Amino acid sequence: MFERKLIALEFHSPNDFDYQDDKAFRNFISWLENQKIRFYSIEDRVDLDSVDSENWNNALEKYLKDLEIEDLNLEIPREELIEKLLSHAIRLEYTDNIEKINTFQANRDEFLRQNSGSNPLENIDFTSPDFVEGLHRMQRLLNVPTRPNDNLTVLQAISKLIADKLNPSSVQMFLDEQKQSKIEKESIQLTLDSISTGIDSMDQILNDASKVLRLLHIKELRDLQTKINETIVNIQAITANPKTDSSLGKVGV
Amino acid sequence: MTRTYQEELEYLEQINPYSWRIKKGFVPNMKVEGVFYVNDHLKDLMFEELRNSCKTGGIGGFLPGMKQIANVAALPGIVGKSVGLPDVHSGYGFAIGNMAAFDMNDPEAIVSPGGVGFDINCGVRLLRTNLSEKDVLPVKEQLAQSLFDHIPVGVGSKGVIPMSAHDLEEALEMGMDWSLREGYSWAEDKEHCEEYGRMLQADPSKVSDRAKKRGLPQLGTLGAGNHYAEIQVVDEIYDKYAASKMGVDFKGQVCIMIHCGSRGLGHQVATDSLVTMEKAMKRDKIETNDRQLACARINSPEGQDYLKGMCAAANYAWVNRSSMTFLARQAFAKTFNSTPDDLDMHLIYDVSHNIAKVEEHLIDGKLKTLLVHRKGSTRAFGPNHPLIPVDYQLTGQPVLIGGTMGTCSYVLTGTDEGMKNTFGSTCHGAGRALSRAKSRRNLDWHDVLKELEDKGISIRVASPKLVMEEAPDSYKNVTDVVETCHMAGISKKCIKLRPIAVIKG
Repeated sequence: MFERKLIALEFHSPNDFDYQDDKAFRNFISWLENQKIRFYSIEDRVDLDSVDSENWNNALEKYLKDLEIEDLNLEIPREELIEKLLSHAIRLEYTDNIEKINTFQANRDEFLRQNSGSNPLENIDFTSPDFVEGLHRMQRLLNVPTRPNDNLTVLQAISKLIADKLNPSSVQMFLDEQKQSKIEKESIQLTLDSISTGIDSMDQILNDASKVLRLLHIKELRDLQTKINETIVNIQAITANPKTDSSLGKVGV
Repeated sequence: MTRTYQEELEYLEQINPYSWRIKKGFVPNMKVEGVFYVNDHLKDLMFEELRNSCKTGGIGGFLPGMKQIANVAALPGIVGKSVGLPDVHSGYGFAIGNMAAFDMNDPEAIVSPGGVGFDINCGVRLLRTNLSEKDVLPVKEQLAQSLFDHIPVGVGSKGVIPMSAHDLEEALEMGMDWSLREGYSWAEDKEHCEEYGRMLQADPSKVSDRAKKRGLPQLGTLGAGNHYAEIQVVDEIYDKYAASKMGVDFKGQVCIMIHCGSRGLGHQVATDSLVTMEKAMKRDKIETNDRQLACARINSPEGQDYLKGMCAAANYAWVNRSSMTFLARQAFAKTFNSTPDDLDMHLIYDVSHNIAKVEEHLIDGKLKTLLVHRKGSTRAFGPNHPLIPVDYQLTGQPVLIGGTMGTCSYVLTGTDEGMKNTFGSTCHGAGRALSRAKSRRNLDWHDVLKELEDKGISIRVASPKLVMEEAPDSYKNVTDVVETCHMAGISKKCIKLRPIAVIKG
C-alpha cells in the first residue's frame, strides 16, 4: 500500500511491509527517524529505538507531537499516520537533494552510457553495421516497419512484439487454434485507411494518430473483457448447476 | 375526409432511389415527417396497399403501412422522423418495421406498447461452429431430430429446464445473468449480446401473476408463428474482415440461428398495459389518430410500470434464447460426440427487434436522450459506438436478419450513415406480404413442405397444417429488403446464410 513511497525512500523491504504487525511498525518508525527524518539528536532517539519497551507508545506519541505536523497524532488510523510520516520524509529527502534531482538529465542515451557494464545489452552500439544488419533481418522476418536513424525504437518494437506474440503461451494458443479449425484461415490485413475513427480532425497525421490510439484502446478493452469473462467463469465454478428434465418437455401443436 | 389515391400521392416525395418522404398533412397532426426505405419491388407493394385502401375509402381491412408510419409521426414528443424500414407491413398501431424516438426530456413524450409489439424482445441469435457443410450433411436428419427433441416447439409446448416460481422471479430481474449463474450460458455469450443480456430497469413486480403463470412452463421453448431454429451454412461472405471478427472464415461453415421471444409472458405484459394506458390517455388528454396507438406519458406511473414490466419480459426472452442455446449446444455435442467447446459453438451476436430502449442520439448536432421504439426493427449501431462489444468496435455491430422458413438469412453490420438517418436502426427480416389468413387460403401445406424438401432442407414442425402461414411466398423477398438497407447505407452486407434444417412450431 505504501510501496511507491517506500521504494523512493529505499526502505529495505518495500513489498512486504506489514504495517498491521506491531513489531514491523515499531521497527519501521525507528528506521524512518534514524535514516530519513532525523528530527531528534542521536541520544534523544533512544526511547523510540527501544522497540520492545512498554513505553514505546508514549515515545511515539511524544515524537508525533514534537514533529508538529498538522493532524498527526495517535488518534488517526495507522495507515494515515504512516502516509503522513512517509510524505514528510520524502519532502525532507527532496529538499536535501533538490539540486541533484533537478539537474538530472533524463537523456536516455546518456543514461544508457552511464549504466553500461551492468547489462551487456546496454553496451550495444546501435549504429554498428553488424547491429544494423541483424536488426534489419529481424525486421524483415517479423514484418516490423522501419524508422530511419532510430534503431533503438525499432529494437523496442521488435522486443515488444516478441514478448506479446511469441511468448510460449501465445504460441501454444495459436497452435491450439490451428488444430481446432480444419480450414486454414487466411490472414486479413487491416490497413489504417480502412478504419473510421468517427472523428475527422481535417489533418491526416492527427487522424492517423487517433486511429492508432483507438486500436490501442480496443486492445486494452479486450484485455479487460477477457479478465471479466475469466472472473465470471471462476464464479460459475461455484454457482453453476444446469439441469434438464426431459420428462417435463412437451411438443405443442 | 377521404382523399383519392392521386390526392394522397401529393404527400409522398421520393428522396433518392431508396427512400421516400411522407410530408406533413398526409394524416392530421403530424409533428414530424415520415420516411420509408424501399427499392422498386418493395415500392410497388407499399403503393398497392395505399391504393387498395383508397378504393374502400379506408373502411375495413388493415391500415396501409404508410398511414401507420404517418400516424406514429403524430404522437406527442416524437423527434426526428417516423421511420419505415424496407420490411414494413401493417401491425397493431405501429407498423411492423417502424421505428420512432421520443424525447425523454419532453414531459408530453409517450411510450406505446404498440411501438414495441406483443412479442417483447423477440430477437435472433446466431451461433457459429467450426463444422463445415460436409461434416453435417451425413447426419443432417439425426441432427434436426436431436434439436427437435431438445427444443420443444409449438403452441402450448413446455420446456425441459426445471423452473420454480422463484427461479422465474430471479430470471425476470437478472436476464442472462441468471442463465450465467445457473450455468446455462457461457461468459462470452453475455459479451456478445445486446445490452449484455440484461435490462437493468426490469422490475418483476410489474409483471402480472397471469403473465408469470403463462411464462413459467414455456421457458426454453420456441413457440409458434414465425419463430424457428435453423441450421444454416455460410453461402457468401461480402465483408471478409467483419466476418473474420465474428469467427466466420469460410463458405460452407455451419451456423445455428435461433429466432424467438418472450412467449406468453411478453404477450400478457403488453395486453395488461393496453388496458391501463387507455385510462391514462383519457386522464392526460392524449390524442392519437388511431385507437390502437394506446400510449402513456413516459413519466406517468402507467408509462413507468409498462417500461419496467417490458424490461422484465425482455430479460425473460434472453433467458429463453440462452436456454435454447444451451440445448442446441447439447444436441450438437451429442450428435458429433464432442463438446460445445471443441465445436467452437460461440455466440456471434444476439439482437432484439421488438423493444424500446433509452439511448443517446445526436439530433441536429445536439445530444439528446431518447426512448427509441423499435418494432420489427433491429438496432444497428455503427463502428466506435461505446455500447457495442469490443470485438465489433471497428466493424459496427452485427445485425442478424432472419429470413423466412427455407429462405436465406443475412448478417449485416451497423454504419455511421444509419446512426445519422435512422437512429442506428435497420430492417429485421423479410416482412409479411400476405396476411396469415390469406396465406392459409392461397397456399397448400403439402406444397410448402415439398418445396423445402426439394431444396434439400430437413424440416421438423409441430403443426404442419400451419406452415403455409410462414411459407416464403407469404413474405416479401428478404434479399430485396437487405439489398435496400445496404444500398441506402443504413447497414452493410456482411454474410449470407442458407438453411439446411429447420425446426418450427
